[in-house]
Amino acid sequence: MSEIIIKNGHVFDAVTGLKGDVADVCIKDGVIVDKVSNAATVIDAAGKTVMAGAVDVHTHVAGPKVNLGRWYRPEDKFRLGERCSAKLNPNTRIEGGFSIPTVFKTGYEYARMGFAFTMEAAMPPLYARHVHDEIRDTPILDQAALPVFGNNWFMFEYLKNGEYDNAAAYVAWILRQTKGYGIKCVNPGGSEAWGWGLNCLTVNDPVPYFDITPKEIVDGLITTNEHLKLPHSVHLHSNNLGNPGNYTTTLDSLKIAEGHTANNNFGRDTVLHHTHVQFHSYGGTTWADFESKAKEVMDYVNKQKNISIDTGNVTLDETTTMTADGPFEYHLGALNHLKWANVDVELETSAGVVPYIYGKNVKVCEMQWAIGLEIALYAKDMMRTMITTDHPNAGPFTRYPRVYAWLMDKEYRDAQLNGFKWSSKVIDATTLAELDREISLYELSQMTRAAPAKVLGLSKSFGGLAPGMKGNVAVYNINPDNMLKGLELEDALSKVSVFIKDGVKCVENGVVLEAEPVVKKTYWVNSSVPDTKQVIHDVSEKFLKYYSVNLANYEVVDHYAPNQEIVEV
Amino acid sequence: MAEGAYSPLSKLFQKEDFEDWSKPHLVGQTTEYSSLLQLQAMKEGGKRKYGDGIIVSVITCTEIKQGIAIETGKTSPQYFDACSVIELHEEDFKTLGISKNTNVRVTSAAGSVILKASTTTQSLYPGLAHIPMGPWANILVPSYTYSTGEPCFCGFDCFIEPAPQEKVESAVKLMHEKCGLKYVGDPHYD
Amino acid sequence: MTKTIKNVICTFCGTLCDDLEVDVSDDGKKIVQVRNACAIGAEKYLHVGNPGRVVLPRMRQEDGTYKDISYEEAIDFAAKTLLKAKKPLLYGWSSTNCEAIAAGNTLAEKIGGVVDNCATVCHGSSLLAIQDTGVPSCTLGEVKNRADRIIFWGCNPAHAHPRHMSRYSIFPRGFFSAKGQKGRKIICVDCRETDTAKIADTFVRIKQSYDYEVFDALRTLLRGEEIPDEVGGVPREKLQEVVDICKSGRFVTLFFGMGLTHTLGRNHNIDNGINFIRDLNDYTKATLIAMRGHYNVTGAGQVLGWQYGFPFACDLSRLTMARHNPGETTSVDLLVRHEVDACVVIASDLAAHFPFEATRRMAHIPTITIDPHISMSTELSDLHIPVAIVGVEVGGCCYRMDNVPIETRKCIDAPDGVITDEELFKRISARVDELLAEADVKNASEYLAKMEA
Repeated sequence: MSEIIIKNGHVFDAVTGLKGDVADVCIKDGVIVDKVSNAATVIDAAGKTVMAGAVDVHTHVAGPKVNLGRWYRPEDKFRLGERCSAKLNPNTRIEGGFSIPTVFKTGYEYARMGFAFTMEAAMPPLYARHVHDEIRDTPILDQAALPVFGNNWFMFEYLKNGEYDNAAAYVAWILRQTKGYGIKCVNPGGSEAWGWGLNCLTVNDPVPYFDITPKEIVDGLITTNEHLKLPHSVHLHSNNLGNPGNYTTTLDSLKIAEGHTANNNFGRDTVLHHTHVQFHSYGGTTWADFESKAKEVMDYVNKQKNISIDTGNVTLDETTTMTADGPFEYHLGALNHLKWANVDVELETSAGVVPYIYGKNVKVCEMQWAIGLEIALYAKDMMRTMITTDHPNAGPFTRYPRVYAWLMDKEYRDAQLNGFKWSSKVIDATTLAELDREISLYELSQMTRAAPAKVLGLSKSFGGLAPGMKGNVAVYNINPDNMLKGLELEDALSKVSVFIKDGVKCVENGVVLEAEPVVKKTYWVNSSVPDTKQVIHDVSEKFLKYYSVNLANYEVVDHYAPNQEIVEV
Repeated sequence: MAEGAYSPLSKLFQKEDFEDWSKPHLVGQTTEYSSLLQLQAMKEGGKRKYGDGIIVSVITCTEIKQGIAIETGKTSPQYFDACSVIELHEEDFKTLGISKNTNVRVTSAAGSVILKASTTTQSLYPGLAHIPMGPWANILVPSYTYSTGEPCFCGFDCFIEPAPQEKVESAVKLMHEKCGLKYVGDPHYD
Repeated sequence: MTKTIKNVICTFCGTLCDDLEVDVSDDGKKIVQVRNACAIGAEKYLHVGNPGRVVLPRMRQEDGTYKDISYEEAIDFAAKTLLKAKKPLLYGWSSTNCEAIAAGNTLAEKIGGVVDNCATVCHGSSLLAIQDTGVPSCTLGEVKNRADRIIFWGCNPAHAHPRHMSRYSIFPRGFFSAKGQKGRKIICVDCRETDTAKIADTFVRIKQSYDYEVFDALRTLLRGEEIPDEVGGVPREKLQEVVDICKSGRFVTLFFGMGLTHTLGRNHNIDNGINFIRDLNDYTKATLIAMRGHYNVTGAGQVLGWQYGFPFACDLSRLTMARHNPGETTSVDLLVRHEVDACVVIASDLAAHFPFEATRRMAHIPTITIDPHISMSTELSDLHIPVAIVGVEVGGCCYRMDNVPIETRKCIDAPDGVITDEELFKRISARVDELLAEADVKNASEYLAKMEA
């Protein structure tokens, strides 16, 4: 069928090991191949950077709390860029939203930056249909969603009793019912405590009534995850997010991974992925003596080979925080007195939304910014460290190029650092000023392509340019021999020269060509672990007595995901 | 008196003739809004009785018979019975000097319509009246939205006068005539 | 022989009960019996098969009668009407499924119209308040399992959401609420002592349109400050009683309806209510849920939200961006100020539920009503297009009042030839594409420019 050859580009790819070598990339029928015929469409990438389509390991782009954010922030649509112009581009639907883009804008903006896959970070199982509704309407991007288990009544009972067979059967059942991809755990125990207005702030705080601790929950989830041999590891947002001094809770949470070994057929060797670590690396006791503990946390991460992290970089924007950490959002709303939204979900989880302004003149925000960059710069294994902004919590995903530029250009970040109102305090409380390291293009390709693909168990299809992998290729107007810096680098990373998805050229010079011919896929995991008698009984009983919907109406039926890519385990 | 026309007494609060409905209805400059305010002013000092009629505050809400009748059919007798009524407190019946299930003319800042006055199981107080939401109620609902999009469905003043000789009209006929459309009879309800 | 379809989702109100059982005839064409539905739901399902069902589009003639036409002709008329209009209004969306709403949005974006749903005359005020203040909320199952203090304010579920109290708010025995009604204290605040108030433990009668003041008084008392002897017709002692009941509870939920959204103050009433609940969270757990009326008005808002970023009143007429400005882009205001020149009424009855001034305008501009049944709007439209009934003849996703999405079920076939809303909008879209291609223009605004030239 269709053949494309991207010629003479500088290829950065951890899978094939190319570190800027000039090489051709060939695609045939949507898949990377060794070579193509002379009839292939030629894309000239001379003097440009070529990478595989990027993979976002953690972002909030689809679901009930995302849409609640859109509903209640009409002011977020007030910022219109030159890209919001359907009249000029007949191939795109109307786009809108800065920190919470509409689904069309989400698909287009990710494509404009060269992204092929995003993982929706949290899906409440009861609301799974909503998540899939939005995923289905998001163009171009392949997506999957992680159902949340850290505050689930069924899991509490099974893990408390050590019933791992039942725990595994239930998780498998949920993945099938919700077309979910893996195990997400947010503020374990704390969001259930929030059902009574309480919280769990350390790994040993027991959950009211259920009497299980966050440590037991996470430990049990890891055991269950490896028992199921799922493609992705447990994905954790640990307790005590956002509070000064919380790095101890973070280290306690990370330590839970000790003693566990990865067990799967997807090439994953980590057992725990801790997300948006920036929010969890705080020292001090109050906002007054707030300081960075990024080094302490990263020392541990570097040492403990079976964990992976993503950064959660602050971008210094007005954005919207949204998380399944309901109690955190309540406290944030009480802190900044902006509008607070909350949705507790029966038997499963809770969520909150609060707008937040990371002010350039606010000391704590400046420090948060520095901490996020430190996390990445201290990382020794770029295959276990990924770059995110926990979109939209620390900043919109459209700011990724800015974060990359800060990491790749010391001068650019120093200019930001030294321009702060409280720069001397930030320099004292963090170590960013001393860090000379600049992330290279190759390391960037690891952190944004190969690493997330590996950790998600998708390394056979995404994150690389080896033959057999998906034909997702991004070409940037960056000549490694004449490396761009600062704002120019940021601009080049935010607007691809060419983006090819599944062998279809869909973006050129930052302009979306035709969203329709690109078939986006919804990925989910189908585990062969069968239901146990106990799980069947418990599920029937709890739906009858405690849920507000009937069991027969819980499952997400096929038409919510018209193009499914089912990962069989 | 013609269905949908205003009673002479309504001139008390409708000073200008705003029958010219071809003109756009501009909020703030609207005669409807000033009539609203005028009706309110007339109630000052607790005076609600003017001639044969009284001023009441009207709310329009959902009601179970109305909800069921929606599903029976909008042109069904059940819908007619459920929605073409105004519920009053017993004392207001006395003040008007009518017995229950008498027809009355109800006039608001927005329009005028004949309804059947009835008692209610949902307990009002004197001066508060309820009309189940529907086309009859909406002849009266002022369209002023205070820039929110929501008109005055609940809490607008109306002037009620006894009209025992007048008939409650079918909604389709009412609306067709007020819109200047040809009315050829009520369609069936399915 | 009949067959029973279980777990049917009732498509009437925002309670979206999903436990109906529908018996259908063997040939799958007729509904014979319905179980577990309330009086309204039962009426809906049992009246589907009544004779006189509209099965073909009807076009209004000069002499006031209606003539049956084919779907093809109707679709052509609709496409042309929408393209010829500078700023058409597409209103309703609340009694159909999300798939149809998405197809309708695609069409609206193409022809440059204003998309608005029933929230605009229902919980629009609540949405405006949420835009100002946020919303501490939960799912209905949380209420069932945890709530021990329920407040109904300005709503009458006994009449509008009949099974709400037995499924979620008053009677059910949940995980932490095994005593059911006996373990709960119910407060009802209203200007009338409604049937709901009669079930409540505490009834607070307020003077009509004084809700804002009463919320304010409650918040003041919550802070331990003084209030006058009487606020909004309610004695101070009664207000203190309400505050004490709430503070002593472990999980308070406020359900509210048109008594707050339709009365003087509109969104400010709910704003104050949300703040009352937010303040209560300093003492105990408290949430609130809006009693959404139609079974998919929430879904209409959700689809509009994820596609354009706004819950209602979304103006797409500029073709390049979506605009939302309640008071300007809301349906009643648009109609009353003569700012729309064509109207599509879909899955709703504008003429029965809008103030007459707006309806009168609708009657004088080209109007198409899309509805399975005869309604007030169909009788004032130029064209009435019948469609299949969602939840009965076609499935599709609908969102409950607490935003939980549920897939409705098909029980019987639609009458021969009657298509679904989704299909109808897709076909009108396709016809619009044809007309644009025939006129050799790229979009609706170029089409208008060409027609005017």
